[in-house]
Amino acid sequence: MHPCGRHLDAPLSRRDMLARSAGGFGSVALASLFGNSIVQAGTGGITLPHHVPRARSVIFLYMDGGPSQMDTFDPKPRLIKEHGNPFPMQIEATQFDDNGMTLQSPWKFSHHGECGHQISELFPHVATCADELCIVRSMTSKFSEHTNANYFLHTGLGLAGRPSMGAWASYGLGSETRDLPSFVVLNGGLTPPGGLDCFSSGFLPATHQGSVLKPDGYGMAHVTPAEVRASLQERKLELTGRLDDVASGQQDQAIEAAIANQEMAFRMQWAVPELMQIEGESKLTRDLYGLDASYEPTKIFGRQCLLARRLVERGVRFVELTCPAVNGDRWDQHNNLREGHENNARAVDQPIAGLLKDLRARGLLDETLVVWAAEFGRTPFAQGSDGRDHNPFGYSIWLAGGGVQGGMTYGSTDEFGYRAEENPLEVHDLHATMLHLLGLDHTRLSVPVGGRDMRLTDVHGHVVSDILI
Amino acid sequence: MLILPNILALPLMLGLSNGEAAEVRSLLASKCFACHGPDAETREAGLRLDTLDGQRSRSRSGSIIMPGDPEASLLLKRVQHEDPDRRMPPEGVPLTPDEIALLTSWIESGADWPTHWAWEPVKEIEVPEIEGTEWPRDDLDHFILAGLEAANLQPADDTSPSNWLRRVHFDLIGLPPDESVQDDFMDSFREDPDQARKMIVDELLASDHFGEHWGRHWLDLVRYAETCGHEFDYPIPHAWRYRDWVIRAFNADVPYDRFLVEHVAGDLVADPRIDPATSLNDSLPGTGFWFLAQGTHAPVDVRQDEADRIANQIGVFGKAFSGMTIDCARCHDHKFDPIPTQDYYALSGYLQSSRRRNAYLDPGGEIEERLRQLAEQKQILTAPLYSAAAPMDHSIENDVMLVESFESDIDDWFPDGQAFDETIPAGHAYLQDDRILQASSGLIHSGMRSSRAQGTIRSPSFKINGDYLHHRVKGRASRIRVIIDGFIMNEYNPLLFEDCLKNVDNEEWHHIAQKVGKYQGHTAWIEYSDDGDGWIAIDEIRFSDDAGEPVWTGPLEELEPAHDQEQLEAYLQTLNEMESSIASPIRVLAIMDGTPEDEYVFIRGDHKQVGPRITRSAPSIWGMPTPSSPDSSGRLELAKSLASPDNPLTSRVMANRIWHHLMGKGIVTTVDDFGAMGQPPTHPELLDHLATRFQSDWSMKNMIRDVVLSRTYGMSSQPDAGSASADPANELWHHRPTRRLNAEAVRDAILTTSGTLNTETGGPPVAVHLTGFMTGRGRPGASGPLDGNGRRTIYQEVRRNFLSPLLLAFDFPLPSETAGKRSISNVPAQSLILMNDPFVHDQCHKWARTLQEEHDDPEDRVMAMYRMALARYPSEQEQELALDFIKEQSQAHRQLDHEEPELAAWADLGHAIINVKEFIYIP
Repeated sequence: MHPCGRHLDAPLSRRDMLARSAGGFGSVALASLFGNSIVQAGTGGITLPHHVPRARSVIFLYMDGGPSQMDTFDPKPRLIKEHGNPFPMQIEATQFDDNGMTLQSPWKFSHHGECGHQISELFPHVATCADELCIVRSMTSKFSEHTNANYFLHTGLGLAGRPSMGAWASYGLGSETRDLPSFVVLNGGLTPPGGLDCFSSGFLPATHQGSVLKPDGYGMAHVTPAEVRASLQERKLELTGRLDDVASGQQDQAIEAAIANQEMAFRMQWAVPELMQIEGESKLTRDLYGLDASYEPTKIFGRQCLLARRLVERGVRFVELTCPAVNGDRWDQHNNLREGHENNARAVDQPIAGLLKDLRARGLLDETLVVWAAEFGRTPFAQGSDGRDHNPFGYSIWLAGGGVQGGMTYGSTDEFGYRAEENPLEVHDLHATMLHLLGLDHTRLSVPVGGRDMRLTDVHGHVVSDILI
Repeated sequence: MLILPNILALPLMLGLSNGEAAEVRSLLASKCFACHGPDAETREAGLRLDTLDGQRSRSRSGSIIMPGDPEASLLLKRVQHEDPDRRMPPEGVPLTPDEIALLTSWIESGADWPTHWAWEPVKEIEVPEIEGTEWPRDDLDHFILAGLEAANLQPADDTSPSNWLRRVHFDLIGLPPDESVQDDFMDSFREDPDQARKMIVDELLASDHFGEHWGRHWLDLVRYAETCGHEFDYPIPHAWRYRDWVIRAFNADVPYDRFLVEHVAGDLVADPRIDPATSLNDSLPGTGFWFLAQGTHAPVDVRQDEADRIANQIGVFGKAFSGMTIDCARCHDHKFDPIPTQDYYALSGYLQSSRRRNAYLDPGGEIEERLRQLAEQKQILTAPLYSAAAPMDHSIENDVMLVESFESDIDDWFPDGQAFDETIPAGHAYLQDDRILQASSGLIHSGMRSSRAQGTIRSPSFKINGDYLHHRVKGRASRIRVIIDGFIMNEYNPLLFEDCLKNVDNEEWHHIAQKVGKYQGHTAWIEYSDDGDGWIAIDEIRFSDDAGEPVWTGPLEELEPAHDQEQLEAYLQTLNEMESSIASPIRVLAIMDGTPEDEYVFIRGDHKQVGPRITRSAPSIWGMPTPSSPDSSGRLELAKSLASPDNPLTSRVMANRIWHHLMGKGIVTTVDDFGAMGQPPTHPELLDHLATRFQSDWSMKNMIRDVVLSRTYGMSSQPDAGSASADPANELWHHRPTRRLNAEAVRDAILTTSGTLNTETGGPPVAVHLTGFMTGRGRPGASGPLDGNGRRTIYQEVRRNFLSPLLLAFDFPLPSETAGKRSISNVPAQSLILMNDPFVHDQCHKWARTLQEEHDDPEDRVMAMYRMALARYPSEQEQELALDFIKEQSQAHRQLDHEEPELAAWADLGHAIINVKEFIYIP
């Protein structure tokens, strides 16, 4: 076992396993479900961190569509003064080219926690965790279009085709779980613009692609046996195992690995339903996450947040949450800002606070990095009369746990909240920092592809050491 | 000096590689070139290590490299420096002792620095002498055996004939052999093994399935997809015609040099091929590859979007055809290879000078022929009715014009299709539907030949220099489009380009204004399209700065000259009958020449900072003079340089791809990168030998035939024990490793095994089957069939945002860039799919049903299953296990009161066999 104690031993060979258990496939698989070791190692991955990791897992709360920084975590009194006036700064091209007047925030801000973070009334629950949050007010992106910005946020390039950050984490560190994929996407209902390519393994092996888990029903594709009785499938796979033994009289690594994978697949059929069984959680926990809230999207996101905790408890490396559909649109309020942002905030506020508190209470927050981020923010001037257009030039995200300083603010925007001013952060910097916290050096986590050593951060990225503990 | 068991160095020890220099180049490229390489802008201390001059230069402290004297060479001092601040490279892992030993040895022996192997002309290589002369079946085997003999290694035994048969089937057509093929082969193999193998290979190469399998390999290179991905996954119309063209080309064994020319410039070749089945021009559809990229619908910076589109095109062009990463030179000179930024922008100009179109193909010239007959009849019947019309006065001669920007000369315009033939001179009477008209100024009119004729006419490129573009037009079911910086996605979503597309559906002259002021200074062209039973007539075009009707250059009067209307209508009946038999053209995604235009260098890739303008030319590394052509895009000349036998890369790259697909690993393992950062060839002489053979006839089938008939290809997957321990990475090819089927073959093998494969070829794709996990914007309204209608996987729809989970789990590459080498992963998701996907269950039931109908005896059934699934007979033990299973499993189904418990048990047996690893792992 690796000194950090977090990496499982190398896989046993199939023959070792068969030697240990007398009863053929079914019993081998069941036995390993209860403790025998088979690891889903990062194929071709490094499987060792470059340095001592601060975080063991990441939970990425993807705020689809782009919440407005001026209405959430970056108060701008100047907007109140200038409300309704022509916007005084030079305006860059916008997605809808329908730029209106300066628009103040419809929401009030107040100070929270010992640190005194200013958070708007859109997030009453998250505000109670203020001291956990490291708010970055100077995030930037390079794209004003959803899809380019999404690919950029997820993969470091504004086009489809590169591995997602979760795939890189899985590639670099392998998995700590025997029965679940190492990169899981909890899909609340809204797949990001750009589609599932946002969670792709790109040029990394398929094992690192994000596995989509739905927060209800069976959860994951293909984990539910079609057979009406488990014994029917067991007998079948036992036969497969015996036929494999007879057929491959000779050693072949690829075939041995495929056999091991089939055994893991067999176990996943139990592990996933077990994961999804949240009925055993206490009333306290249910209330914490808002599982019985009156607003349906809150219940969905609550379930996602609870499942995220269960996933990291089980050793899943990278969990990403997408937003549930609220009445209207994702956080993409080109009009009707007030209603749209209120609905979206209502869906995620209580569940996120529940997640942070639960992780803290279980001692998991220190080793779990939670990131709340979108592909871009919104303009401080109106689109039409009551909306806001996309703004990649400066916006807010926050990080919590996993080696990040709670209660701090990093960077700033100008007095309108339009452009990052102090300590502008690029997506590459966020990626570099996330990898750093996982124990990976973003400049060394690379794969040769098409003549270049490809990295999540391309040739960019700096670890933002100012925000680390 | 001997370098011990470093695998990279093994071929070197055997004198097989082109020497230490290649290894040293690889090492220096990966460790040093980023700061001491071709890119002047990031070069540190003025030192470059990629050229002889640089290496032999002197610094204050001495010579960088002193040939023959490692001690005196600064390079070696610096890479071993004790002070980490002074040690090179300054970041990353220091050089290993092996690497230092390699450098030392290289300097000791004179620091030879030949041109990078891949830039050298292909050499004809003498076939090496060997001791085991009875082993080879083909010259290429000599190269492999020579390497093995030199290392004192043994080639593996031949694989069994039944396994060879299965292997060659999957490798050539992507499908398993059926029982009768197995029987016939084994019979003829007993008589004459060589002849038997040849016959099978010839049959497979002649099969339509060959192109379906090898065409799919090719589609990986050109990021083939049928939608654009991004937010709404809009379609790429007619993309599948490219897919079918590739399949046809492989099946017809179109010579590879010609195949490439048709990709790059099939629209410009003087002697287009005609598809015998459809009589269509079959040299054009290959050019569709330029446009198979992803695309976003509303870029806020459309010039940037254009630059990104072209970067993707150049990336694919460079990697797929040349194994060159030219796109790396977009922002800076290439870090590792001698590809300056100028080369990138020289290529960019070819694409700036070309345009995307959905061409109008005329099967066998039939449409033209009908139009010609129609014109003849018009001449005879209706023309006399208006030939007497008195000429009108007109003051303007050429009045189809962009007033402010250039002279209007119709010859500059680019007609496409059959509808836009020529202008109607001012004052000439003409027939429009059932009216005779006479206009005071000259026109372009797509209804002149017939309203059935279709086509598009495009203007020369111009700079937008007014807020509004005005057209004086009339028409029916036709449209006007302004294409800005080559952007076409407003077709689907007008956001930001709302006014660029206007329908014309008013048969009287009227004014249409397009607000384009936002794009002042951008390059654009106009397209007038008549894509159905309509027409469009254009009188004048101009710019102004307001939306109101501008002052036109000339007044437009139109009258109906006196004529015998009754007579006209009688004639029109005859003409209309003729017209109704005019077929619609076949639309094909293709490229065409536009206004020739060189591109500027974008400094650091930023289109807002332009440097000098670069004349269009081929990459300098090819060493091929490519004449520039002021009157055309010049793509044909570029294509010819690419496809020339003197091009050092073209034949090597493709010969290596063929080897990669057949052997599982390229001679150059980095199949898309032959540059300094790629791996040097394990067998450089063999590669040149194959390349020389390949370019003698450019026949892909001959190359494939030669390789699969070789002894090397036919080796067993079980290595000789001694060879395996001496060369565990199989660098020298002492056995042929077991291979997993690719994603398509997994699905196709299941269909074939269950007997449900539908062998229909070609045509529009089968809609993708959607599961509940495939969500997001652009999701199709309806799911395709679970079994994809039993069609082969290459005919299943490739929607970028809704790729098949089964294919993705088995490493189907994302269609974003050239992917010449797929990952071959081994993951639980693959097992989960084979265990639980409804498609697999469904196929097993169908299979069981057929087995039940065809075989009464259970033993026969098991035998048939093994032969269908694994192309071999079951052993006694396998028979026994299978039959015991049937007994138990049908009993279990019976106890559960399942209908047809026997059938269910046989389906379960089939399912167990499909899950046997041998089903997808081919030894």
